[in-house]
Amino acid sequence: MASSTTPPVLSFPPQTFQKLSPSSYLLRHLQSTPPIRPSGRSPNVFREPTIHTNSLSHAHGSAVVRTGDTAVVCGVRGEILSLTNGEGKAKGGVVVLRSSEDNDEGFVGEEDGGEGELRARSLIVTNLELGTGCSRDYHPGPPSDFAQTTTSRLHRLLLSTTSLISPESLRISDTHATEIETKAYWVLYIDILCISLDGNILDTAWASVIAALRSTRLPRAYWDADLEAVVCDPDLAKYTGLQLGQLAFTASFAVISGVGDDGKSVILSDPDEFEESVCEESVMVCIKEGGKIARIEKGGGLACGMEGLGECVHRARNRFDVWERLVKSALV
Amino acid sequence: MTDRRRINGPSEGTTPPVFASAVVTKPTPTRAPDSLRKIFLKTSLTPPATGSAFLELPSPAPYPNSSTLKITASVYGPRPLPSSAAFSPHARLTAELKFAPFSTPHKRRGYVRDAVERDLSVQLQNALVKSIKTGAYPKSGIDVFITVLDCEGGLDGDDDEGVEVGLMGVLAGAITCASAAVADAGIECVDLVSGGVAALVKRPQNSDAMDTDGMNAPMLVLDPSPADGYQILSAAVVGYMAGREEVTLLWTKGSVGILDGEEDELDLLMDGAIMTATAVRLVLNEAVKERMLLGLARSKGKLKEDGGGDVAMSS
Repeated sequence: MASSTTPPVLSFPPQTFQKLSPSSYLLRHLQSTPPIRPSGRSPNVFREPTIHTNSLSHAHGSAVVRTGDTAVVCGVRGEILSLTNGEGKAKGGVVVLRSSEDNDEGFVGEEDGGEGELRARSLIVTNLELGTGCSRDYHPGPPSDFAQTTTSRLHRLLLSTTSLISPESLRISDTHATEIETKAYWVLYIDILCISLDGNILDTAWASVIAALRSTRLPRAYWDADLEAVVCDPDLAKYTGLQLGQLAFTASFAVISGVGDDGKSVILSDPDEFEESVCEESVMVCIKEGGKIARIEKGGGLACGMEGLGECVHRARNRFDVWERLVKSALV
Repeated sequence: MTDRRRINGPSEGTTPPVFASAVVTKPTPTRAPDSLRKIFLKTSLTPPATGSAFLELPSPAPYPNSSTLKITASVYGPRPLPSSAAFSPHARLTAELKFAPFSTPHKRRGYVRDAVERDLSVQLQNALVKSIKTGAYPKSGIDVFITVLDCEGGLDGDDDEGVEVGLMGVLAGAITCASAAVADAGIECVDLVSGGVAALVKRPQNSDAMDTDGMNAPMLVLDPSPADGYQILSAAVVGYMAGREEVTLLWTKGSVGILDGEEDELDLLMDGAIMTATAVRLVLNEAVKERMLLGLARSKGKLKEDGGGDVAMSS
């Protein structure tokens, strides 16, 4: 039976709309003037971070970083790799590369800023754990694909992009011998536990790694020729910090297209979990001290052009200043 | 065996730093045997979870930077069980306790769950399940995840010097924290569970106790910590529902003498542990009350907002 009255308009509460059609929910928000995100932020606004350092008692350095509802704890722990068992003593010996990433970088030696030495001996061990009940999608047990890729991105940032740690600061030498010989190394275990996950884990985890490394203090280690072992000085006053390179911070973005009638795209700074699930295209910019661009990662779409990338770099530079101030004030 | 899904350290293995001539002085207890430590307990610190809580227990040692117990708990559920699971008229509770790699002294912990963690998980599950109205949630699962971020040590095996209470402290903290998280999740409970530890220790030589016949009898210490420096003869941890006066979990360690009358050590230990748990319950009550008032304030604010919206529309 045809009726002349217009059919009743279907209406949902916002939460139902968000579940039924996430992408149009996000688009409707961004189409309003001024454009606003479901979280109440403007597209170019990052979440305000907080940093606390050295709150863990058994780690050599630690940091708790929170940005919005994403919170991570990072602990750095030094252990000793002894070379006295014959391995690595012979110069020019066969070096077996362990990490699968080494295929493209290779063991070059001293010229590459020490990255080869760090990699070949696995002196830096970075791991991100998401199976802590931080989000309903990740469960305890073996790491998920996402955890593995994020771990390897962090590892790469630490070793290749920023060269933050020099192998010299990790060498333990025999100072009494006539020829200085490296007897052992410090191995830094960097464990990042996500306590609460609401998007953009990379930026927060990376900042926690930086803050934890800057707060790390290792005991003075020396080679004891009588014991033929590395011994540490228990004197707390002789603990020293690591010699770190220039600071670098990352900024992540999500790009959504088709916002305006002309298919204009919008770049969202510091996306949360919901925005990450809707937007396919993502951009990551790593900025070093002095505003230098250390790395750009982009993928998932074509909406963000040169102009968009310029905007990302500009926002990342501003974000770098925020992190830098925060890290420096957290570690006086 | 290397874990290919994680980044591993050198295959030769690494050793924790060895210190030269570290003079190990056993600390002398500084607080009264029946004094309890202040607990920090806060709920809703993991917003993506249905319910969550964070617990911190300071070390009694007088020096700064001393170790503390830090535990986070998050609860998910009740959520539907996977369709492959068999029908269950009750909610299925699973508890998973994990130590962070940097949480323990000396050696770094691995990521793969070990026997200690599995044991504590099962005990925690047993302590909690009796407090939850599982019958109200058929065909659903409730998952409790506990992460120990920092602990006080005392996890090694027991020796002639006495038993270690580190694990018991972790378990008691985990019970309290998990119960707060379950309440935060809004899951129907019959009562809250709090954990308490008590120990019988060798009486210190310089004790000013006057009764000479009591000198050799062990002394009861509430809420013992590995940093206290007592020589612990036996210890017990309970999960206790103070509202119903029911013990959901009891775990004792060390040799406990069972004698008639007032000398019965098991009675002493259990009473002590229950006394601790009852005191901890007060903190738990406050944390849950705080959360409830916050929730009430929020829902009131929401109502007001909605009301305002209606007015705007009608005008």
